[in-house]
Amino acid sequence: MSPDQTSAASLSDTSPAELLALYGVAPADLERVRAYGTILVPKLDELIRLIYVWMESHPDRDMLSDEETLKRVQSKQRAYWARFFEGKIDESYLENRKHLGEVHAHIGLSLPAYFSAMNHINYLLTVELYDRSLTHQAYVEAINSVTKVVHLDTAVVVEAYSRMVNESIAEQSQALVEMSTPVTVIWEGILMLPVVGIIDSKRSQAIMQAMLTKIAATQSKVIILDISGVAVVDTAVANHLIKITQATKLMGCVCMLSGISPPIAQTIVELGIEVGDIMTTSSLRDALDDAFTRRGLAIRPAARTP
Amino acid sequence: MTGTHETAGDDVVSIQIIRGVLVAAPHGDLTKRMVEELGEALSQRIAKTLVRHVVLDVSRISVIDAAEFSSLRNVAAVASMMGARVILCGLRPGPVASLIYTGAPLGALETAQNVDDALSAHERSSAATKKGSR
Amino acid sequence: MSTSPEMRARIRSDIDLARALMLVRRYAEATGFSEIPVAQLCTAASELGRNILKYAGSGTLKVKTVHEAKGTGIELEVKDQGPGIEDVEAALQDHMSTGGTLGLGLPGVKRMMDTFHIESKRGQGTRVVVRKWR
Repeated sequence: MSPDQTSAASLSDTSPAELLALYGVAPADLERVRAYGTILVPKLDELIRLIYVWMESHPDRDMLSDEETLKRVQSKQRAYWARFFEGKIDESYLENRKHLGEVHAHIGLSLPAYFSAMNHINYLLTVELYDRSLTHQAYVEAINSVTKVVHLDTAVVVEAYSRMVNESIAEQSQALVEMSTPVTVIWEGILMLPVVGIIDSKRSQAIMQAMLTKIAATQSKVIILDISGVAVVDTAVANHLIKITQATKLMGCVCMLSGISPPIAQTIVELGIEVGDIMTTSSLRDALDDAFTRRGLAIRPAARTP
Repeated sequence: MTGTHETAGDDVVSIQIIRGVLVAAPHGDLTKRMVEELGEALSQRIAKTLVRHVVLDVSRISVIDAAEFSSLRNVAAVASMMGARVILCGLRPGPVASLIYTGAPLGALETAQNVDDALSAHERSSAATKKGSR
Repeated sequence: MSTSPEMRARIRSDIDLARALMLVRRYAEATGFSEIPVAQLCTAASELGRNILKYAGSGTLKVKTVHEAKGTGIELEVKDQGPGIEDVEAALQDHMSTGGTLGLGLPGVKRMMDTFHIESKRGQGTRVVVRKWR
């Protein structure tokens, strides 16, 4: 995610032209922003000062308590607003805003904080720092245009922020998937894997891989897949499970499905899913029982010693 | 594991008789030539010795695509046509996963985890056959 | 039981679908449905949502409470602007698709729900509305 990445995927494939249309920003608006800039740009230092005065009273202030960081951030902000008043919204401008969103995500700035800050800045730009030099008509038109572009900027930044947050969530869940397939040897030649949550195609591949590797390593003959933690079994999930049982069979290991609750049993039947000769049980205990029988084992009470 | 040992072609497939069962083991990932030689060697051996039990040990193959698997199945089908029961053993996780995901038709291939299990399966069925009134 | 306000979810990815299912589950439980109907509603939502991902790429799921003299129920509406279903009649028959999977899953959804309504035209997207009474 470097700033020099000019992919069409910035702002989910929306071009500058489409974005301007979406926010009703016409060339005339950009012209007015530039014109208003002649009043504001000389006052940018004051703008930054006022922003920070306001932020002093804001809970997120702690993040900028380091002097060096503060100076750096302020200089970036100054550059940001200088660019704003250039009134030129192209790919490079959008890239710049997108990068800001990513930075915000990276440092963990909250969105409500960002929104309230932008709202306040809009106020500073259009009211506080206004020098009353325009006619009423010109002023109204100017602040209308400025506000539209502020909204556009906010949208780009927030979208980039959200995208980054979602990507990190996806990465975390991928990591979780990799950690969450503990195939256990519960008896000699018998393996067990509890599956919890949602079985999508990525997860089912991870499950299959973990199972097959363990089967090869332990030369186990039976593996019990407990699905009592699986929330929904639809035809897609059923297909994944069926594929898993086919795979283990190829490796000479029988896969039993345990933990089939009444609601799941009902929906599987109603969906018309053919389970065929896959062994299924409602409890893990029954599956274990079946597994032992298959291995020619039986559990008996220990002989009593007198 | 005692028994006569011979190799087919350029040492690409080893064929041994172990406990009365013909065990054929490709030495690595399959090539078209390997499969052809395997098929030929197998059918000739079966014709010569009338062996009824065959094990295809694929534990040294790390990659099998759908086409190669299909050829293997054909080899098994030919042997089966000649009166032998064929058990495939030693499929590794990699090949298994790709076969399942490419939806390759698995057919009615008998599988076992390893050569030992395959041999035991054959022995069990011989014992059963002997017991029965054939 | 309180009437929860209507909720909608956009479905553009597996994650969206997973979240939508959690939404449906919580909604159904809050409306006072018992375990099995909750599972049926979630499964139906899952089937329909997955069809969106498979055939249309993106779509929406809407869940709301409905009231009639006979009582309270839940309505699920799943819509997309995808290619549409060519032959709706055929899609509503139980059948196996070539991949050994169960096609669109619509007959199953129809069986699980109390009412089932589908509109779909080639090139005009698909809309499925189902209801389940408590």
